[in-house]
Amino acid sequence: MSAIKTRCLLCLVVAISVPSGAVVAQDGAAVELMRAMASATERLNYDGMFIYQREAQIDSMRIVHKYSNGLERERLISLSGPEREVVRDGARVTCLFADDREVMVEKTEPRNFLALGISEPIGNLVKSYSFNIVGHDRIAGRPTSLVSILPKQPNRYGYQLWIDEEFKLLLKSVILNRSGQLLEQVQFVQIQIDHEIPDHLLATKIEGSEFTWHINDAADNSASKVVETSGWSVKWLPTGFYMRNHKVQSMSETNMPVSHMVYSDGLAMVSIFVEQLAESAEPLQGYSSMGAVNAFSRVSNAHQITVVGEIPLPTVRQIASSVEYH
Amino acid sequence: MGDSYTDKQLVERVQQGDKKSFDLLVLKYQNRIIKLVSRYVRDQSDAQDIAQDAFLKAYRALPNFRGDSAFYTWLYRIAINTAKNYIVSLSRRPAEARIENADGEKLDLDELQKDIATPENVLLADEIKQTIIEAMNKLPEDLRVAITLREVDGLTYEEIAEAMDCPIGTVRSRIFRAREAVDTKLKPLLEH
Amino acid sequence: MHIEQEVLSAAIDGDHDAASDQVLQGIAGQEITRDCWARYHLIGDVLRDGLVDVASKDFSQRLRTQINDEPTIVSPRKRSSSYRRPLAGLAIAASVAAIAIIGVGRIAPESPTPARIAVSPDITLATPAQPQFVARPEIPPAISPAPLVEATPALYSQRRLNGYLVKFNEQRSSVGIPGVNPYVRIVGFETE
Repeated sequence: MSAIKTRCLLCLVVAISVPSGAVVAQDGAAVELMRAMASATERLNYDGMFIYQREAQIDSMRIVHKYSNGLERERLISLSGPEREVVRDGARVTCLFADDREVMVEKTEPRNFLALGISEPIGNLVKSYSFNIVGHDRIAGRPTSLVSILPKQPNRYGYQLWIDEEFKLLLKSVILNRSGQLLEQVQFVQIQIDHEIPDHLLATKIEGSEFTWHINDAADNSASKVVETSGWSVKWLPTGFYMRNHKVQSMSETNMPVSHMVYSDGLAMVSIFVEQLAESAEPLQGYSSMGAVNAFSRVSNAHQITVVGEIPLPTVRQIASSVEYH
Repeated sequence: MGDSYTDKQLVERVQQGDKKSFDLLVLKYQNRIIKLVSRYVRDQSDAQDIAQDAFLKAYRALPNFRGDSAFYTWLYRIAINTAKNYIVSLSRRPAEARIENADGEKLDLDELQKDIATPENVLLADEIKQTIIEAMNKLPEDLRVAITLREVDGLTYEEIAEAMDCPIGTVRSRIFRAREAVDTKLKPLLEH
Repeated sequence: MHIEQEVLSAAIDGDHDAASDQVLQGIAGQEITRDCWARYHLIGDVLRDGLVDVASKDFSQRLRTQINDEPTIVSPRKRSSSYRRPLAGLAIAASVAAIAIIGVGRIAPESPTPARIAVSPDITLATPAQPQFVARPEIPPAISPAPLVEATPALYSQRRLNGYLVKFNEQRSSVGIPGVNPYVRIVGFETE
């Protein structure tokens, strides 16, 4: 769908005034569809090629995903540009960069699709967004339902999801700012769903045994060490954002603990980092923008405060400015 | 660990054509690799075969080893892959007569026979372990502490010198004397 | 060459003086020193792991025979520098954030209104502006768009921002729109 058509759609949806009782029902159907999508993403086998667009850059990738005996495995392969892959086997993630001759092995957060946006009570979600199934479209040769997610509150982005009608997989998604301009897009051009996937498709072809290996299996500390970096609080956040996670991690370059607070309204996510500045550290100041992800850093009280989020840049700045020590 | 320096030296020597240095690497890691691979196969002699294979693969791949990671880490991965490939190839063998044991596990007839005769080296391994432990217990404390810090905790000579508050030369001497004392008991076991 | 046993012991532990080419060559060259090397390592294996799988006596012998049949490696590698590569997470971050921080290839340094800007060295914080929902995040007037070259932060700072981006992304798998693979951003990459 072209940008113009998208904007018209948005206007159309916004212009519809719906009696309040019907709001939840309407949202409900869309959210149910998203719940089904979350389940399908985890539980189905699929193999497809998609494009990932971020401003002027388009990358094409392939994903192979297999679910068997309760274990999720997947492999993401770059098809354009330098050879890189991410292979996930349950919670273990291996990133292979052929050009840099490096391999990273990490543990992923549990794929908690039951949280946030999905098991999030619909009452909370609809405070911040309106969810509507607004139409149908064809993606990768398959019929899809289009779910439009519009922010009701300022300081966040909108989303559109094209969900396969048969299997409920997400075939296309876009992140839009309030003017309806596209920030990021993922779209399948070809996909095979619910078929047998041989194991060799999930094994990387990058011969990494002679690369440099970085293995990071260490669990991050969570609540117990949080107390040490308390004293810092976030005074301002957009409406509807609540803390979802608070952990203490360490940054590789310094050995300083960094307090990492994760806030979300159910869909959008923002991370707030507070790190004590090492003596020789050059403070990070300024902002950075990458597609739908924005970051802002400032220094206060010999601490580095950095906010990273899938929210507009002025919002990221405002959150960062509000982080205070008492 | 301090001994990664030695590994680096040995690897470079092999890469410059000295096969004998590879021998030293084999002698250093043979037990660890066999132990690693034993997790994947039941039979001891299979484990040794796989370990042989892994070392051979490592030798062949050595020209491409850049030394950015530790040699052992690299060797470790090769060993695991070799073991896994072996298991995969096993599963392709034609079905042989199978017997179930009490747990319902299927056993291979051939394997059954091998299990009945206890391999000689399993007995030897127990005896070796006993001998070494007994010899360790008889060591004077400063020698025992020094070698434990080195082998079990992986501390460098510098770190041990700090921990034991003595010169590095003393650390080096203590570790050697500990080894020598244990070796006196160990050597006769292995030479027959 | 006669190798003192104590020197052999020190070479095992990575003592730079002891683990010289000469010494290692000497150790590898004689059966008696190879055996000692093997036994000293065996002691370490038992101390570390308790249970031990002992390589059979001819394990290294068999391997030696096979390796003798292998081509000698004739491509000497330069001694690798001790440059530290970025630790876990940063290399991922480097790819994720490369375009954000450096804006390579898409923003000419002289561009007056870059779509994205590198971290600017000096910020005067304006009072938090009313949230503005403009099509593209515009540069607030308080911040002058420094030319890309000057604004490029020290590598250290850049890496730290990359580190934050990675940590943010790691959380993404548990938050937000399910169905969009969080690693897509990591695999997406821009060539310089």
